[in-house]
Amino acid sequence: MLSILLNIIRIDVVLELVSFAICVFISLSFLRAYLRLGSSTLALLSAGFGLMGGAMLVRALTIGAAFFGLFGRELGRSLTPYLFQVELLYSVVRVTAYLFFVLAYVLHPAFRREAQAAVVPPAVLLIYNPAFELMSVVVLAYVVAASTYNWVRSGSKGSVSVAAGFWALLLSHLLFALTPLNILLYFAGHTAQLLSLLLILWGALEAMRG
Amino acid sequence: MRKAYRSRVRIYYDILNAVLSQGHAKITVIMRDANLPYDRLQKYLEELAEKGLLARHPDDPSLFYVTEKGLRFVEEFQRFARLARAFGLEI
Repeated sequence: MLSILLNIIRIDVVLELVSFAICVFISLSFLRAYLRLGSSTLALLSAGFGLMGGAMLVRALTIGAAFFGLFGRELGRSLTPYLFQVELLYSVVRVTAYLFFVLAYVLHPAFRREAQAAVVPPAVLLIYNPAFELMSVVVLAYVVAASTYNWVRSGSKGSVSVAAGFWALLLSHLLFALTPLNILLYFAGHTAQLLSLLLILWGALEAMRG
Repeated sequence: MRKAYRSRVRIYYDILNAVLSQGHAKITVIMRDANLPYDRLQKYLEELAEKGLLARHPDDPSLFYVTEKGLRFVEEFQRFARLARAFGLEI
């Protein structure tokens, strides 16, 4: 039983680290653009992806250390409060990252008047664990709606990949939320998260290529 | 209808683009194409000159031209504006 758990944790840590690497790449691309132009839109996107990546790295390292390193011999009840704190921190930082995306869409939408009429306001007051996945869905819904609206309205290069990426990110949180039904949903969630970041990365590269 | 907000960097781009479209441009043309009043445009022209993005023509100081650095700024702005547009955002 313990070996199955450790294998699940191992896959979890590896997937989280891959997602972290993609987030860092996207964040650094936006940071570079921000440093060149000084636009707050780019700073908000960089901060959002940077926070996402930071949360993923901290979670992967602490969970990895807990199960395979420093605390490996003491696996059990003594770890529970420690893991709970890590998960809580991870959840708060991830929701904060999504709020940066929401802020970018609220402050710098490409279609200001129409977007305000078409998109439901973000539920920013719902930040609290343990319903993190569902909270993320609520917050991300705004980002998904705005990016989809942008794709439909402008059809600009890369917009379809970005919108699909945010949809996949939303799906990943729904799958994570449904994990108690089946552990496979957890990995499906991770796969959706990875796919979402790859789509966003692809969209960004496609847009910059022109 | 309320005017859309333009960031400082967007205004820089609009001014440089107005000059670029003419090759060399007088302040009245820039005012019209960048949609800026005279006093605000003067301030931005000084800022752009200080940053080395725009300069006065040596033979005719009433004409402005975009420097090499300014050209690079315009190219980068266009590239990153496409990136922001893919997300449905404005720079």
